[in-house]
Amino acid sequence: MGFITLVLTSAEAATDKRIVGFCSRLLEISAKIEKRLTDRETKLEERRTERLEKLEAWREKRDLRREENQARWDENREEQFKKLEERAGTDSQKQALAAFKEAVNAAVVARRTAVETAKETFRQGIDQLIISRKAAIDNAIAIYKDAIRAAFTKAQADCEAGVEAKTIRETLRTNLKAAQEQFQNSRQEIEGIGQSVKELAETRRAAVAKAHEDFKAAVEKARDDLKAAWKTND
Amino acid sequence: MKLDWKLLVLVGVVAVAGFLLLFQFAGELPENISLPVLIKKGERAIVLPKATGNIDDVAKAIIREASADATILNDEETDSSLLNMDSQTISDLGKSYIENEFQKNISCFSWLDNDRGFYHVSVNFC
Repeated sequence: MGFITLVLTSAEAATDKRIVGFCSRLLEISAKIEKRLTDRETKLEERRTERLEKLEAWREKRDLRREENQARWDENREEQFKKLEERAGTDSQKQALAAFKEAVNAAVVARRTAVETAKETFRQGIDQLIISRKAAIDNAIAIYKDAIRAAFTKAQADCEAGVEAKTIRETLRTNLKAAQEQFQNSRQEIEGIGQSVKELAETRRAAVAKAHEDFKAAVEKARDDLKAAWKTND
Repeated sequence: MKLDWKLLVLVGVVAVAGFLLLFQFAGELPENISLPVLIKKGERAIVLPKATGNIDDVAKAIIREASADATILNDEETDSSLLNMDSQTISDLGKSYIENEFQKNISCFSWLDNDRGFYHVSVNFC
């Protein structure tokens, strides 16, 4: 079925065969365009599903890698602590080492939490951009389809009114072209989300950098405290 | 000239053999080599710091975790490359009305407009 259902009375058809010929082709053209639209909307949905699946898979992989790495670093940190324990002879040294370990572990947790928050904020931002983009594109498609429908409805009305075939054709062509241009303009506006992505990325990087700096400062302070307690310069 | 052909054949055989060997050792070649996979391979090359018992070394070793983590975290930004994954499909959708085709479809009517008494020519002819 096309966008229009062509209804022409036999009397009208008899009055101008040229109009009938044109109008009978209208149905075929509108059906062709509508089929193409439907096919491409289906393809669009497939691409969207594919994107979500890919996004999920990438994130899972990264999370897994981070978990694995964190476990390795936790293990390594314990080895570092053990080596220090071997050097802690007196009670006060052991006490200072315990404070060092506590401070370092707290710093590790604080950094990981801050980084996790930054990561989640970034992901939510990306998800939100995808949702907004989808809504905007769907809206543009709906407007585009409505404009095409309106163009064919107008052509149909003109057919029924006995307007000259050439005029109907030109009007239809102009209206369809305008619908297409409007859609392409909307699409280009929607595609311009690079700035939003950049802002999200910058926010994430700044948060991670701050977490890193705070972590470094906390560990260095713990180190200085331990060195002072152990009265060593190593 | 004969020597050139022999050389070409030899190069071809070596290339095919090299590809087969690579294929065998690398396992099944992936359809799409995604960026995170490549980074993952590099990430596994991280060497953990050796425990020396020196306080400075310990502090440095602990701090290194943050740098290593940052590398993986930076991969998060590759997600944004998926945002425009549907761009081509959307662009195609916008071309569902193709002017040239439309002109072709209705060009016959122009002909009919100008005709004088040839109404019996079928529109299917167009």
